[in-house]
This record gives sequence, C-alpha cells and structure tokens, in this order.
Amino acid sequence: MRRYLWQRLLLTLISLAGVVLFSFILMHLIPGDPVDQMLGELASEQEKENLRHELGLDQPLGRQFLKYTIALASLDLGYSLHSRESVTQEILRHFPATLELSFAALILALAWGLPLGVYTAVHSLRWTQRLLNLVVLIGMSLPGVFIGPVLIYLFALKLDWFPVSERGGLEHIVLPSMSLALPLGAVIARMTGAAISEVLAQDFMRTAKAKGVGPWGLYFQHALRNALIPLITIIGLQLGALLTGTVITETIFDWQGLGTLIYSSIQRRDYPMVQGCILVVACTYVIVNLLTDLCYSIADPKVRLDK
Amino acid sequence: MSKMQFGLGIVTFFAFTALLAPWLAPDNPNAMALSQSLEPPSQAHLLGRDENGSDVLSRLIYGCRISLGVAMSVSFICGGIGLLIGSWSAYLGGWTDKILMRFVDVFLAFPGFLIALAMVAVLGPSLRNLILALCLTSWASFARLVRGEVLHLKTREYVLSAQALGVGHLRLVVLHIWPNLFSLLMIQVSFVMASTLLSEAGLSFLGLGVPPGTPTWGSVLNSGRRVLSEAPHISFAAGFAIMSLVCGFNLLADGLREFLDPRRGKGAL
Repeated sequence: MRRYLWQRLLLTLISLAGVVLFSFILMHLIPGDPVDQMLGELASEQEKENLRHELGLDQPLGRQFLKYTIALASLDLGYSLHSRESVTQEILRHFPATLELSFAALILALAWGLPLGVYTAVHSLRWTQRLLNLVVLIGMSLPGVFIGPVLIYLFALKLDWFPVSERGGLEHIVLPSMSLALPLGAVIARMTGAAISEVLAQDFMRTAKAKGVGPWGLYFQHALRNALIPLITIIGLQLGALLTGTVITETIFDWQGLGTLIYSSIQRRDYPMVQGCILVVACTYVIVNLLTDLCYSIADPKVRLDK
Repeated sequence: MSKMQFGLGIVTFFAFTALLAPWLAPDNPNAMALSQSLEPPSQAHLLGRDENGSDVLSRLIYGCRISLGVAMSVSFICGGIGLLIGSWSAYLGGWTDKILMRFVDVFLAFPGFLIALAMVAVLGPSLRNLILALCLTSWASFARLVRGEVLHLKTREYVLSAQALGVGHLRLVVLHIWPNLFSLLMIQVSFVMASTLLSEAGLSFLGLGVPPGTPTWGSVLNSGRRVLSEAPHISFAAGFAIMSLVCGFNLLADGLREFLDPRRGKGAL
C-alpha cells in the first residue's frame, strides 16, 4: 500500500510538472512574434515593447521559466490582456459555475446510468437488454455538439419549458447539465453493467440466492456493493473528464464558467488568460484522478493490504 | 446481423461517401448564393442551403472526407508511434521500459481534449495542426496497450524458440510478435477513430479545427447552430452524421472484441 501510494504521488507530481511545462511552452508555440499576435498589426513599437517586457518575453528562456514557476508558487498567473484583471481572480470567479454544472451533470448521469446499468446486467437474456445496449451505445456516441442544439431546439425554442442560455435559477441548469449527462450516463450504464455482470457470476451470489435473499437485497446490497469499487474509479475519472469537457457545452449554452472563459480568451487572443486556464483545469484533472485512485485503494482491500 | 457487421456496414458507407465525394455531391460545397441563403430543403437541395447559400448536403459529403481523413490520419499515426514505442519499451525492459512508461503515464494523465484545444488555439487553425494536436493526445494509449501485449508475447514458447534458433531482434519483433498484435490494434484503432471524430467535431465546432470555410461536420454543425430557430435541420443533419459514424466505429470495435475474445463477453471495457 505504502509503495503504491508513493508511486502514485510521484506520478502526480511529474504530471503536474508536465502541465506547468506545457502551459509555459504554450506561449512560445505561437507562430511568429507572440506580441504581434496579441496586439494586432496596428500597435506601436512602444506598446509592443511594453507588453514584451510585461510578459518577460525579452528575457532568456531559462530565466523566463524560472520566473514563471516562482510566480506560480504564489498563485500569480499574470494579467489578462483584455480586462487587465488578475488571471487568478478571473479564474476563481468562473470556477464555481463550471463546478456547479459538472456536479449537476454527474448527479443526473448517475440517476439514469446506474439503474440502467444494473438492469442490463440483471436481465441478461431478454430482448430488452439488447434494446438497452443499443440505447447505451447510441448515448455513448452522442457528440456534445449535437445534443446541445437539439435540446435547445426542442425544450427552449419549441416547447419553451426552459430558458435558452446563461446562468440563473434552477431551470437554467437543466438543459446544459442534461446535454452533458446523456452521454455520460450511457458510459456509466455500460461500466456498471460490466462490473455487475462480473459480480453476478461469482459464487457468493449463488449462495445468497440459495439462501433466499430477495431481488432488492441480491442486486443492490450484494451485487452493487461489490461492483462499487470499479465504479468509484469510473465516476472519478468521469468527473475529471467533466471538469475539462465542459468547454463545448458552456459555449453552446453561454454558461459563464471556465469553458466559456477559455473560449472567449482564445477568440480575443488573450494568451496569458488561456495559459492560466489551461494550467488550472489540467491541474484539477490530474488531482481529481489522484483522489480517485486514492479512494479506490482505500475501498479495495486487495490494493490496501497488498505490498 | 452481428454488431461487427453492422458497424462495418456503417463505416463502409461513410468511407465510400468520402471517397466518391466529387461524384456524389450535387453541388460545389463552397459555392455561395447569398440571395438564396437558408432556403428550406427541396428536390434540388435535399438538405436546403446554409446561411451562405451553399448546398448543405454537398458540404456534409465533402465534410465526411475531412472528418474521416483526420480521424484516419490520427489513428494510424498514433498506432504507428504506439507500436514502435510500446514494443521498444516492452522488448528492452529495464530502465528503458521504466522511463518510457512514466512518460506514457504522464501523457495519459493529461486531459486530452483540452490539450488539443490549447495547441490548435495557439498554432492556428489548419489541418496539419489539428492532426498534430490530436496525435499528441492519443498516441499514449496505443503505447500502453502494445507494451502490455508484447510483454505477454515475449514469454510465449514460439518466441522463445525463435530466439533460441538465433532469430535477430528486429526480425523477431517485426515478423514474430507484430502480426499477433494486429487484432488488438484494430480494436484500438476503431475506438480512437470514434473519439477522434468527436474531438475533431468539437474543435471545428469551436472554430478551432480547420480554416474557416472548410466544410467539416463540426463546422457545418456550428454554422447551423447560429440559425437554429429558422433552419434546425442543418445542425441536426450534421450531428446525425457524426453520431452515426461514431456509433459505427464503436459497434465495430465492440464487435471485433467480442469476436476475438468471446470469453470476455458483452459490455466489458
């Protein structure tokens, strides 16, 4: 267990270092002179010189990286070229919206994915199972770019049940979270189905059945609990994917979270902002995955007691 | 009809559409006719016209070429890189293996779509940059997979006996080990095709994939989104095309896996 933990922690640290390196390099991947790109053709030499100096681009690469990492240590991500505000502040202001959307989507996805997964595993011989498998497969193949417009058209433009976009009350979160939850729930259903089928084939399930345990106890207490360990991993990984995968959904629904911030910063060529957002979101992803693995190893006695 | 056949059918259909695009498309996908913008579907234009007055069906047919082409390039390039690095890592073992696999782990730990998004945003929209960015985020899964399988194959009797007979390293890997990786790679290629199609659609949708005006499924969807209330069929048709092809590849991958490993059965990922 301890050895596994150290290895996992080390990997996380290396990954985080990789993320920092990537976000640093990003600014240097801009073809041509990055300052030209950010300010446009019309900027004066003096303005360019000032920006170059502000971003530290007039210094040697090694020193730039050193300065970048030192600033990072004090959570200083520089200033937005657009609003002149601190990048850290802007990210903090947009983060709650993304978090809210991700959790709403996860809860919705679990609400339809888990029962469906259990059902498909339990009724393994019926034609309904074939149908449900098809539903799951189609759900998994649904691109976010497709569901979003369909939901808007159906429920906002035609039926007028929910507002089209922007944040607000509870009714505002329904459509964006649904568009994330549909494919996600399908993935969860599939994984749950697989995990439970595996458990159902075990000897203890037959024993429980022979003992006279009812269907509820059988499937939810015996099967689901044992299938929970792989499920924790799946859900954790999906949460990580959600936090990074909301760019499209947020853009479609004009949801003022990190995704929209990334998108509009790209449009405005506000590269310090893009750099900061990528760094924060990628780090969140890496850390959520670490936490998932830790949960997994705590929940699974085989991993916990091993080594 | 089995899953695999069904999936293969869908994929073949779109592959032929892409190949025969110039003969199938009723119109030039970039022809503009602003006076007839957003014309509803008719006999001459089965899916109507978009806001520039271009024929939507033709744009989708040509879009199939680009979307499928990008997905194919990415999965084959990544398959190649993964095959080389994975076999190298597993065959040599020791420190090489350790270092290479840590490297792969780091790449797998990154959020793929976001990294590709950042790369394309910074490099500028072009087909080459799009393929490069998507490759960067998908090669690692191939390397990991190949490494695992080569590690396993390395200890098989036929490989050991070939080794004992004095077969050289290169020949051993290329002629004795690689052919056995074929089915595994085919499955992974199908999955990566599906995920690349989705990523490409997402990036083009945000206007970050290909240069503006290039017909791809993502860009058609995006142009349709702006006129959703007047002409919802544009977005829906493009979305449906993406979904069908992704579904086809998922079915194909699933079916292939069941076919090659009936023991594992349905649903296991």
